[in-house]
Amino acid sequence: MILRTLFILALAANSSVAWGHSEGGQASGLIAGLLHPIGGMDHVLAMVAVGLWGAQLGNPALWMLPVAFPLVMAFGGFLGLIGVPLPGIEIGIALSGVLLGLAVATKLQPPLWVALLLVAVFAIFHGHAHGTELPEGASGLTYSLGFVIATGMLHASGISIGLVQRWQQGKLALRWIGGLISLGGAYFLFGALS
Amino acid sequence: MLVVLGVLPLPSAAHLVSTGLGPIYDGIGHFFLSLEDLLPLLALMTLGGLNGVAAGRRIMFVLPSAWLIGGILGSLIAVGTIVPAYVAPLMAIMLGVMVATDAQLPERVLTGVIGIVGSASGLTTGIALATQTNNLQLILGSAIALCVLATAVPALVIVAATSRPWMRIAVRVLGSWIAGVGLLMLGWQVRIS
Repeated sequence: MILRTLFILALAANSSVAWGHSEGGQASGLIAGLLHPIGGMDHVLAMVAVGLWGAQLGNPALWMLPVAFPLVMAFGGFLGLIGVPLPGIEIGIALSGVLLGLAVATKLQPPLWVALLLVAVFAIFHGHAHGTELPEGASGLTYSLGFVIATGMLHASGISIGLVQRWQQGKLALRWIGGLISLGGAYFLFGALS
Repeated sequence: MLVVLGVLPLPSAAHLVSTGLGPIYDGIGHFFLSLEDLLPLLALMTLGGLNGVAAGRRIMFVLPSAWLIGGILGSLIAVGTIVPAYVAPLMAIMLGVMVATDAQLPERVLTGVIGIVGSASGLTTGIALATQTNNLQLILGSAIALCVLATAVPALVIVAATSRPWMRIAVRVLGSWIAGVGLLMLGWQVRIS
């Protein structure tokens, strides 16, 4: 006990001020990045739908969609960060919910390249939105890291939910979830168009 | 793209946090607090792990050595030298894509990649740290930390990638995340320049 107290006192006496990073906003950037994809339900619906659809399609789409999406999304984010305008972003994001939800609801089984192309096109819209909405004062690096991780986690959630298709009733439930996602997307699409 | 990159005048910045324990420990802390420097090396170590046990062993020895040589050279030649800020993001993109595609490289090519990336990373850090007093001790500390990482990361990846198929896929997804973050780092550099 005495030794522990002495140790704590010694640490307190030896305290020095940490420099910290010269670049500010590291923590706020990470948190903002993590929260951005889950802060908007339109993003959440589409990301979860990507995972669900991947699970429905099975290998190799199961892993190719989550590998391809962050890369293409980052390209969209890159365009947003450097100020390249992209028209109809909100419509594109809402449409992604509608179509990806429909793909799950109808258990659409297109060729792999078509699935990848569809997901990639929508990934650009989502990434662009993330890139342009970087908050002032936040670190670009940790913000990027945050939203890539959060997006990946949403895909993983979709894939995990998609595992219910091992059971017959699970397959049906999955299609219902797809339908609900599509309806949610339609709601956001209506909002974006009006 | 080249035109955009060509007009990026920002110097690369290495971050240091004072641990209060001296320059060696400050150097050890460098990688754990400088994500932009760690990211491409993390991708390289992961790639080494995906390429098997022999490649993992190669990473263990070649990467810290190349980094240390680059770091010392950088700190010696550095005064007034500006390292473009896009070096680390470009390396992260390239290596992240290689991890995502599970690139199986021939032994010599992989060794060359480790040497080039390691020395380039060391060089940029060495140049950025050149104005610090005790910069060689800082570089030595960073190289020690890199030795630990270059031993642990490929070993973990080898175990993960060979244990279950989905773990290998998870590692590849991690590669796509690294490439994605690299691309966004690049965009960020363009934005603030």
